[in-house]
Amino acid sequence: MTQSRTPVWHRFWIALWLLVLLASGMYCGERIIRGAAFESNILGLIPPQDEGQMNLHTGITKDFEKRFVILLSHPDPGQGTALAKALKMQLAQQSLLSMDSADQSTLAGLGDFFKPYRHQLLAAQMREKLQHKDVESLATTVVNDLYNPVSGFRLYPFADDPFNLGGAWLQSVFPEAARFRGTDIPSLQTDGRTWHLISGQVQGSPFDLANQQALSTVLDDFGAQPGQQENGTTLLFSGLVFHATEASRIARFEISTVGSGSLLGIFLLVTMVFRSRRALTAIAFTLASSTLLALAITFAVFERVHLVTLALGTTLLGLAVDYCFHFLIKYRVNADALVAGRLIRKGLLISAGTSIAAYLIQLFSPFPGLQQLAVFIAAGLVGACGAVLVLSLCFHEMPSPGFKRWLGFFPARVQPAYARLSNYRAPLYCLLVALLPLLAAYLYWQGNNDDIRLLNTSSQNLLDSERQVQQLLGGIDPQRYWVVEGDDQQQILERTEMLVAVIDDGNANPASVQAITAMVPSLATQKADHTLIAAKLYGPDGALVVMCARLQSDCSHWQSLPADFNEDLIPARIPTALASQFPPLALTDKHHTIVLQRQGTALSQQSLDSLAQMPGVTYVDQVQGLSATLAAFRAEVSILLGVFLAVFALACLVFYDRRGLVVLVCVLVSMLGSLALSSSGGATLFHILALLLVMGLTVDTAVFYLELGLDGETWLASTLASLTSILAFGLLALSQVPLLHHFGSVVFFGLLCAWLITPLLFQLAGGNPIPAHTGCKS
Amino acid sequence: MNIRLCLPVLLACLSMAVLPVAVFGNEASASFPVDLVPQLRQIHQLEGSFEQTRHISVLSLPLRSSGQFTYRQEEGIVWRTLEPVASTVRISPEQGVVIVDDSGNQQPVAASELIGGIFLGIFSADFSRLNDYFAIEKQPVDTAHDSRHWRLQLTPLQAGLADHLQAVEIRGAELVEAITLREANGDRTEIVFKADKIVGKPD
Repeated sequence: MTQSRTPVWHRFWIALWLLVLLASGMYCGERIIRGAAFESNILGLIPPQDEGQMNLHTGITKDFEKRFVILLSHPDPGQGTALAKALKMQLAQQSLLSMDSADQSTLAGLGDFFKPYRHQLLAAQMREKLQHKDVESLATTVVNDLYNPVSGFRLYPFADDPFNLGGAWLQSVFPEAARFRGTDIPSLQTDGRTWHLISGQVQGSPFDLANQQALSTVLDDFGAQPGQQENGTTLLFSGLVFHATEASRIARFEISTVGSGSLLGIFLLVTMVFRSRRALTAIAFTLASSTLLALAITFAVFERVHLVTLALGTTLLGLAVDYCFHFLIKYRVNADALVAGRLIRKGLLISAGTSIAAYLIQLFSPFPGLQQLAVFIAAGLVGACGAVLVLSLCFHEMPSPGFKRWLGFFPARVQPAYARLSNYRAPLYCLLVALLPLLAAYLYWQGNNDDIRLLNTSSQNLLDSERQVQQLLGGIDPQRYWVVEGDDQQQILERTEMLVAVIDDGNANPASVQAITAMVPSLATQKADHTLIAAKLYGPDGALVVMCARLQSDCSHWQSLPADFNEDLIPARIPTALASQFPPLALTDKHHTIVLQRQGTALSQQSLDSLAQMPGVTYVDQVQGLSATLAAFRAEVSILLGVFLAVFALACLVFYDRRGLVVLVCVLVSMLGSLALSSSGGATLFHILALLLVMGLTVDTAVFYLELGLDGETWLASTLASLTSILAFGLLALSQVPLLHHFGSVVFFGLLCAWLITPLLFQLAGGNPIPAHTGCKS
Repeated sequence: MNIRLCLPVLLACLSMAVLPVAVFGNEASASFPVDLVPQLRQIHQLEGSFEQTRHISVLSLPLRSSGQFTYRQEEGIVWRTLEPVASTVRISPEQGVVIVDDSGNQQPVAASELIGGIFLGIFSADFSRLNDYFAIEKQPVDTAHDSRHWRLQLTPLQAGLADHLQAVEIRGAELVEAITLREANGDRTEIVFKADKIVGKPD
């Protein structure tokens, strides 16, 4: 750059651009230093559901997303206990983690709080016993238990609750609890194995990198991996923090892989073709401008930049250098930056315009992650465009050792090959005419794929581990649940009781659902249970009289039982510490509650029909809902793509006449080819979104051929541009994340098609589509 | 991961056992010193009778019962109360404690692992399984007439268990002869065993 030869207005634009970059850099630096600039919450990629459901989900996640569970098993249970204790101790030493402990206050708190209500709360099975068994039988059960040396769990002593209503009730509220051995490290036995339970929670968000680090450091030191079986020890992990950690790790790995792979490819190509430090400087300036502007604008529009955006955004490196390659080659050939800039300006603007439009269309996608990506890449392309235009104002002569060898490659090797191929014009036309409908038919036959596993970012190991933990602990199915609505809480409770009754009738396992009414029944039910208990157990002809007679007691101790009915047991009165132990309580507000279903619960069609008729009850199937959402968005984006394609076709024909048809065919072949080569499992929403990018990139290639001519210079520039992008998207296609893999593979094949087929189609259409520019010295 | 799969994770955490931890949670003690009662025979099979006396604070009269038991190492314990009511209980490491009715139907007794473990430990003369729950201490006995006799006191290690169970006392010589369970509310259960048939473990 030689400032002395630069006109004043050129200097103004250069200074302005440098100021923009400086401001962008400072803004990005400030955001990153301030912290919380990046996020890894994969939930942020999902489109929001309807507001009501969203609030309920927020309720679930807000309270419980911090929790994690580790199950440890060793063939020798004693050694397993020791290992589990050691691991728990190491985890407890991390200030960002808090571990669960055998907190006696929970049970004591439950017992104390519910004691005044113990004669108006009945477990369903106990209620059935009281309704159907005679007093003799009820008394016999109690007497036998007293003579039995081994009796079950009691919440209240015999003196306070002779019929053990409290113990039966509490076990019905927490049916899984009895499976655990209550040692310091609780354990459960299944299939001859003892699993030790270590549980706790992270202090902040599970997506906070510091929290992830706190947990993974200890586990790495412990040598723990999900499903690991070393020295006989098996570890299972469950918790959002593990999945978030893995997602962050994958994202970081892919950012560095795609980023460094792209940079290395660019460096090698530039070094090989241009052999100039100035060319490297130009490329570096373009990449820096593009990245700074992309980050700054994304930070300005969004609160945080998602790691997946960065992983996808690293492909920007491959795209941004495209324009610089066209500039550098024209500059090399013409030895005048201003001329080179003028020559490529129209093609640059059309090309960048279509790519930016293709990305900005993704702003209409409901996925926040893709919206962010659209802004990131569009801003980056603007940055690349601006950088190239600024370069044309400040570059001067440049030596070009060995450059002609590369310029001569196309006329010497490539063009003859395309010319020989184009001799078979008729068969090629036939092939083309046949290929397009064949590809379309193949794609139709492949169908679509709207499986929500497309959004998966965890390894199979971790998912298997998660499933095993759910099986062992008897997990809740969060994908399917009922929402019960009502005018007030009593109506909600009454409707919930009706719902649970129908579900229990239609299911062999009475503990198939978890509902608030297990802990806080409606006042009507409490009243009915109180009446039943008062009559059947404590009445003048009740079971207590029979029991006392058999035990030769005068029953004087129980004269005051049961106490009067107490109307105070309502959801709002449950202390927070107790409510947090029972999820349905945390998922209840004034007008809604959620009835949770356990994994594997299957309902008969008759039950489902009955439930559909119930007022205020809605069945929510998240899997079905999200798949339907994906399908709907795929259809919407497909229509959008079709409309965009039609408008583009019209514009091509208006602006370029018959030559526009060639561009259109290039685009169609690339799009259909890439889709056919990458969608063996069916086309997904992400395939369609990637097609928009294929379209933009193919137009890039074709428009430069149209504007600058199909010659050695343009072919070299297009080849360099295509190879860097092919490298970037090819690396992305290797991603473990289905979303990134689909996106990368579609664009990879699309670019490959566009690079190979576009010159052939131009050749078939009559060789060089326009006369070479007067400024070109090819 | 399947993004929505994060929710089962959260709920799995919630549905896990809080209560038994609270009921029976405790600190593990050091290993049981076997040489405390070296004279105790390792049992493979045992049959005999028992007499149980239960003192419940709110009942004026103690509850006395009697019956028979059998213990086999592979199958566990069958405890048959014959007087004044008839009932059968099976205790095994695999199935825990189940009540068997007249028709042979088995009803599991929830959260009975601890008391089942005490019985299995006593009958097999293997107290190591109790180490997780109790501090085990040898108590002095009057050995003037028989030096083989011993007495052990089991004290709950954790407050939650101690809230319900004050102590367990085990007495015996070559075999366990009696146990006493003292509950925190003052109730007390004494069981005296009389062995009829003993098969020791093969050397």
